[in-house]
Amino acid sequence: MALDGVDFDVERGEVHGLLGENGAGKSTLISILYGVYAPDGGEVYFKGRRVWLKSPQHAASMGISLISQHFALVESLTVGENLRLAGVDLKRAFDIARELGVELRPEKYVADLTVGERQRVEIIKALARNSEVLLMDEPTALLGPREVKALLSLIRRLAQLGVAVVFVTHKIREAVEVADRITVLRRGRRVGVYKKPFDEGELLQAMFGGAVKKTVGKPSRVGEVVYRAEGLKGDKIRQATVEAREGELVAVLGVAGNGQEELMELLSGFKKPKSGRVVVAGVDLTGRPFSEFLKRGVVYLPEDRGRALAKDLDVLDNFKIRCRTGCVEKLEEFKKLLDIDIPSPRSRAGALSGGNQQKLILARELLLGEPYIVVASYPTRGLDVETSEKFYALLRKVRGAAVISVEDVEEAAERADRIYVVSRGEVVASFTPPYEVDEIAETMTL
Amino acid sequence: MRLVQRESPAPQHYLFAAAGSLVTVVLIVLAATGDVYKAVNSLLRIDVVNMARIFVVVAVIGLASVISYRAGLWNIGQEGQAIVGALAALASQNPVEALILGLSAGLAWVAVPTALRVLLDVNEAVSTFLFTFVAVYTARYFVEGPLRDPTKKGFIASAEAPHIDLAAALVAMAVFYGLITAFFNTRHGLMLRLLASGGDIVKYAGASPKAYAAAALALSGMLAGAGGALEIMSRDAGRYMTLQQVSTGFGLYGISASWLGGLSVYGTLVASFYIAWLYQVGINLKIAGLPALVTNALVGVAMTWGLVGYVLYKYRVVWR
Repeated sequence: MALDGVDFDVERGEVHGLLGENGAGKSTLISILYGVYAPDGGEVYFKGRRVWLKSPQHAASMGISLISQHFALVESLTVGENLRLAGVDLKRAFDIARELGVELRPEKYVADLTVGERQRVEIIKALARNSEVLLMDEPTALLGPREVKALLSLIRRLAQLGVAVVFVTHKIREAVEVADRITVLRRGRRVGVYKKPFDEGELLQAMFGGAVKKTVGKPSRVGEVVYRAEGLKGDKIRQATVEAREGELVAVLGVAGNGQEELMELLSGFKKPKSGRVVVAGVDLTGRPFSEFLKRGVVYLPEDRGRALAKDLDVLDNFKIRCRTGCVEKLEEFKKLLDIDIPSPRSRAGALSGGNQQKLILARELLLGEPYIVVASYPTRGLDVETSEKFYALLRKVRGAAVISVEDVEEAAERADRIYVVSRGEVVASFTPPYEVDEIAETMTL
Repeated sequence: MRLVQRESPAPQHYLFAAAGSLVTVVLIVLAATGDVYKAVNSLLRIDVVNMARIFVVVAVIGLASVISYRAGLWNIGQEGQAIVGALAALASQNPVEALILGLSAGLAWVAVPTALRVLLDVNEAVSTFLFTFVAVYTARYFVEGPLRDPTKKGFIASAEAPHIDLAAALVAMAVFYGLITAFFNTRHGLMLRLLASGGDIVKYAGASPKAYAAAALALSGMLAGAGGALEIMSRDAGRYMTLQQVSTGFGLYGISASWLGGLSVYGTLVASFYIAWLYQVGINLKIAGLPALVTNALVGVAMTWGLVGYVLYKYRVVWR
């Protein structure tokens, strides 16, 4: 059961944080509030009246909007054309933008906007359509640190204007920073509703029902260079040199859309570079098929889970991509180890929640073999704090080194032994401890 | 109304599809004959040997379809591959050799669409379909030319294919089914099934998506060719082609069986039996004076229900 007897309310002019780990039921609750799913039981009230939300269109017509991670904007049209397409009066949109202190440039093509700019267009679009409740599903997931700050302050302004905002997140710090109240969900149930001043420890306890053991991300051993990618060039990546020493955890940081995914493809050997070299343990693997990289112990965790999981096939078949013998038993063992919610080995992989899909990939790629180099693209995205901790602990056990792209500068600073910053398709800077977080954040927007 | 993907597939909906197909066929037969007695007679009169022969052919071509579709590749040229398979069988006097020639001809016929798909990313649905027309004209050329039987006076017909016993044809079918079942359980079989989720995941698994796409189309073409060879060789009489009778329609029947069988190997076997029965009903209706193409209509109905079953197997309908 995705949700079990959850009560939730949001008031006019309030930012209500909805906090929980993956599979806690946040998305299901939002889907019900936006008319995507009908609840099996319970009631929904809007402005004191009981309502039956028949569809998202119905919810939108009542003044409820959803700002999801996937924007409903046509990239090949301009901002103005997109607003008109949504039936929005441009003058009203400008008035709202002015009131919010947001710059709205109607002549710009959506394709040329940053993720944060697109998000702001979505918010203005929703408000111009008289939305009184904004449901924001993990709105910071694709934003750089500066844009996160800008968004959080925009959300506060929305609340001051009387909009009710439901802020869905799994990041405690963000919820604490922006919310007036926080509801914590765990395994489909409401654990509690918390008011300011918030106690982060209490929220963490509520999210996980127990203490989370944090691993200090410092290497126990740092040795020779075991991995070196030199002068890599791809379609978006113009120039990138990355190296990792034995025992190191290297982070690649950048604002979304700066070519990180392609960089990880190039680093892992999944994509052949147009120029440059990739050397693993002294062996030049440049231009060799991905299977050669696999044989050398290179593990690649892509950002798009669909590349690592056949969602139409069952869990066991997916596990067998790497597993040769005793697969059912090993799957059962890893399921317990990483607390993966798999109803049965024959369940369709696509039916698992995003977090559980990610855990399944981690189990298969990191636990089945003995990886030498791990190249991972946003590996902790969608993972709960506890599994993220386990993931980092696993990375520390990798025989060679790990190169991961992360979206959170603080997470990188906390975990990594070396940080590379990518901007506009180039590795523009590298940092080693002690880190100056503001300086790193600054280079991300170079 | 919306379709929402199920957490786990629901195979019971194939029973619903089969029941729906059966009811529709009965209603069509009742409407066509306008007489309950004639209708019942058309539905129940069975020529066991003929039905078994049709079953074998449909099952083998259905298996060819399963391989292609399970790999996410759209070989819809089974008819053409079966035609060249049958044509190749005409060139032999020995059933085993003819069957091997049928397999080879099917492979050769799918080779160009495969190369186009793998090397130039040309949609195989279009190329395999178009190659069916090429197969028809190629077969006519051979019937009129190199394979023409000069002893048949008065009409243009090919030499005769060797005869294969029904039992031997059944054994051949069983061997194909056994091999493909075993294949699907191997790592190569897994790669082939992964291909349906996109080439990237096959590459991610450490294999070549192009190689597996080629293998899937090749296997599919070979089996369809074998199906064509079995069809012409298992006839009681008239094991030849004429200019007018090159195409037999078994390609469509095989495709229908695979979908009605849920793209499962054994589901296709059961569906092939059902389609063989529909074929028999079509013959009975033809004897009763209805148009010859009625069988195609009945199989078309079965295929439609098969697709309904497939959709309900994967998705649930939400009425709002």
